[in-house]
Amino acid sequence: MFQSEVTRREWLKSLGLGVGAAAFTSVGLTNREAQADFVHKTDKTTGKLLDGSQAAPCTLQVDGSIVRPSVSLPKISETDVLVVGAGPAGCCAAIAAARLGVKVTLVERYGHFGGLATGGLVLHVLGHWTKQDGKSVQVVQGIGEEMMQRLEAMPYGIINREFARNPTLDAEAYKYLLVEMVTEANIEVLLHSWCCDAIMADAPDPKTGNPIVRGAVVQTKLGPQAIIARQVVDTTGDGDVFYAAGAIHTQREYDIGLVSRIANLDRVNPPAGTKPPRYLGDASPVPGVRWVNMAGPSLDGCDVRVLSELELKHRKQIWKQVEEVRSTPGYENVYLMETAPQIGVRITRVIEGVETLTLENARAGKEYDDCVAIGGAWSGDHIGWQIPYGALLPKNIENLVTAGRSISAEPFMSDLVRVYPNCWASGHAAGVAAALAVKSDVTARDVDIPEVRKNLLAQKAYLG
Amino acid sequence: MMVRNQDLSEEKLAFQKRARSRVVAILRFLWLFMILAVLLYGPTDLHRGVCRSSPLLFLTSLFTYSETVRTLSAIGLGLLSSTIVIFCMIRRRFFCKHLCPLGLALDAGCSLRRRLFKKHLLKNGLRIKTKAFFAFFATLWTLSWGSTFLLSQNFCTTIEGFTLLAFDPLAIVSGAVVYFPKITIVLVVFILCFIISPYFWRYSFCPCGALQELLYLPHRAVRKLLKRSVQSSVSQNKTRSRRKFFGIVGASAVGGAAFAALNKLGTALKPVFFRPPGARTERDFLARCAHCGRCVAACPNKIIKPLELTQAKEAGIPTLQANLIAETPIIEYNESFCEKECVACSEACPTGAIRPISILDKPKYPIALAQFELEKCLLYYNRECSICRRECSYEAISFLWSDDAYANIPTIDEDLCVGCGQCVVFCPGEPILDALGELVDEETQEENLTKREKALKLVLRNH
Repeated sequence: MFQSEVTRREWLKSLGLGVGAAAFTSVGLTNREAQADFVHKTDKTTGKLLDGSQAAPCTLQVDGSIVRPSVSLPKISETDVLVVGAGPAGCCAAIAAARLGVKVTLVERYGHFGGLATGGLVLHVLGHWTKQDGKSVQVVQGIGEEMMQRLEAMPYGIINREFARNPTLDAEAYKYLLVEMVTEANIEVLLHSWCCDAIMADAPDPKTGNPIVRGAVVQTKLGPQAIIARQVVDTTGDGDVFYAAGAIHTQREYDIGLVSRIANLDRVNPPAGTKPPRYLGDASPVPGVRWVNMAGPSLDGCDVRVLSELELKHRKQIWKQVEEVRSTPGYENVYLMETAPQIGVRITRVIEGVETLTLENARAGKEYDDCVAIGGAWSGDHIGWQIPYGALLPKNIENLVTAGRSISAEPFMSDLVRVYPNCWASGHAAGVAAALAVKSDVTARDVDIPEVRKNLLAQKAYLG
Repeated sequence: MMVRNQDLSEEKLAFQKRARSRVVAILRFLWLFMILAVLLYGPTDLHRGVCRSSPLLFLTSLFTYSETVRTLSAIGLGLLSSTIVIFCMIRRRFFCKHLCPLGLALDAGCSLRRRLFKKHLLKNGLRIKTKAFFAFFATLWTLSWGSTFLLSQNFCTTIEGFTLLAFDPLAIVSGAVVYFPKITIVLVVFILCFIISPYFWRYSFCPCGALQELLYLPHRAVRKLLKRSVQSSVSQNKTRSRRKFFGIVGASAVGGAAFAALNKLGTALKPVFFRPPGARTERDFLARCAHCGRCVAACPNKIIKPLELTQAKEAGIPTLQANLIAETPIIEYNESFCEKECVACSEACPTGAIRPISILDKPKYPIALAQFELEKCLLYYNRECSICRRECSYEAISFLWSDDAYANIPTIDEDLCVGCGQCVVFCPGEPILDALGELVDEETQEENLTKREKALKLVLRNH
């Protein structure tokens, strides 16, 4: 009832603004007259709407169809490299690009950096170790390693940093560290901005005939706002930018869980011989606090109905789990500290890149000329596998690279790509490549790979 | 016995003869003792290398052959072996002289030696024996190159179930290869034996020869029996054919009786161990397996191992049967698994106990079936793991979400799983948790590693 009232009011309002309902007769109409009426009155420097102006023309319901009138958007920023998504990959990309001296804008939908590593409470750093000729080698270095080193210097920042061991970091420490590193690098930050569209050039690339990305639209509290950029790095994980830009990709379903943290584990006193309860999770750097992972059913992580249903279901389950822990003698004091603010979506959209990572190639140790990163396995007992630049590069879109879990890989490889040291590595490479593309004024496709590798090595990345 | 030197005094010659016969007798006794020991207690490390050899083991493997007249091949094998047994009772070393490829080759070697040393040639049979000689050397040569072409099933098992090589003391050679990978040593020993004395092997070392000596012991009684029956017959001319007839009838009777008596023993044999891919059903497999160890040597991942007697006993197999199936190949997935693109054991098997299969056929002959136990799985403890699913070369493992367990459950497709063991090898196994639920570190707590059970295990399939 309330909803329909709002609609009616908006409808009347739009009428009042002098737009005839008859003008909107089909989806996707471009009524120039109507457009002219909806020009925003915004402050040129801040992109803020002036008092009394409306973010966008209302969406209208016309003859059963829901139509959104076309509109010109306020430009919130103009930048060299736009990194969308400030998860592990995005932060590495932004920092790497900024260190090469280009202007970087980092967009994040939540109010903090770190993505699933912080908001998702996935604290285990898995995937940076490999075994080569029987020896353990740390394949993910560069900015990722720098982060781990800086966390190590912080109290309760990270544990298990021994050789050939998978460390665990603290979400809050990592959030803080990322704030520190991003500000040090002079990156323009736009938080609470949800990427909802890509901005495309009006003409395709003359050389390849592919559409060119010119930036992204972010949904903010003031409505959609535009960010213009020379290069875009899509580290949203869900591929929000390349999806909107029309890149060829696959939509995958994978386990969606919800991580939680339990506390008071230092006050546990079970009688001897008690079998520890099932949901005790793993140690975290904070004493007495453990993080509890969850797999969850394999579903489409881009479907809000799925996500909503799982948020409810998982929260019930987590409460049940904690009750189960508490009902074990000696564990009565354990309590649920928090459930992750961000649901644990593992894999959704995966780009179809120029190169695709396959398990077969990874096992065979295939070498690529355009290798820009080396990934490792969870358990650390396999050989490292090369990540070619081609896997970050969409087949049919210009000036866009992706990094993180959405890089081009067959399902089993996506499963390895998604762990965050590997995201650090691909993010680092994407950031350097985008910055160099800006500097040499070429498309992301034409960037000089030896130069990218040289700069990556200068930033202490490991390339074999 | 041949005369070595005409100039030697009679006394010296007599002494030599006596000495030699004594040595031979002692060795023979030792061999008989060893055969008895093997039959009673199973092979030990000492005789393992040699006693896994051919006719003897073929005969013993017949004991494990279960259903009396189940297939034609069973009858064929029974008739053949029992006929040979009868002939060995009448004619000394019948097998050595007329059937054994090694024996024939040694004869040929003997003639060659005489030729080389300008001694008198054998009057007849030279041509045949020379052929055998070349066949023998060709075999050794191919063996030394790691190829078993001449011994492959294509060459030897032209008729299914009728395996000439199961009679073959050459299996000793390949058996020795398993334990002394350097075939050259074996070759050198053989050639030395050859040069020193061509009969040295046959009369001193061959367990099959010893068995024949054993069979020949009551030859007087047997002959007397036969003679009496001959005398009572009407025509002397028919003696030969009559003998043959009696021989065949007797052989069949002995063979049949042996089968009937041992039928019960055989039926009790159920598959307990994992056999190499393409292995026939347990009874067929045991009847054909010559214990030669070639599959053991051929396996690139070293997962095929000769069954230890103690293992067989521990698996609850009665002692006699355990002795008989000891040294047959089993699969033990310790550190490795059966490669998808490998049929080396099948190619190496000379008797067809492991069927000749192609890589494409391999999934039709599963070794085992993987089984999953949720409570030993990392997923049960909310840990992230999908190693088994990723490592399975046959895409037989998929994860099914269970709301009850609130976990993903690796589910094995029985039609796709071949029991290669890859998932088991890679499974990180049951986490060991302390009171805090902390994973006990594998590296710091070595002794715990052995206690860590895998969430996946392999079980025998019901054929």
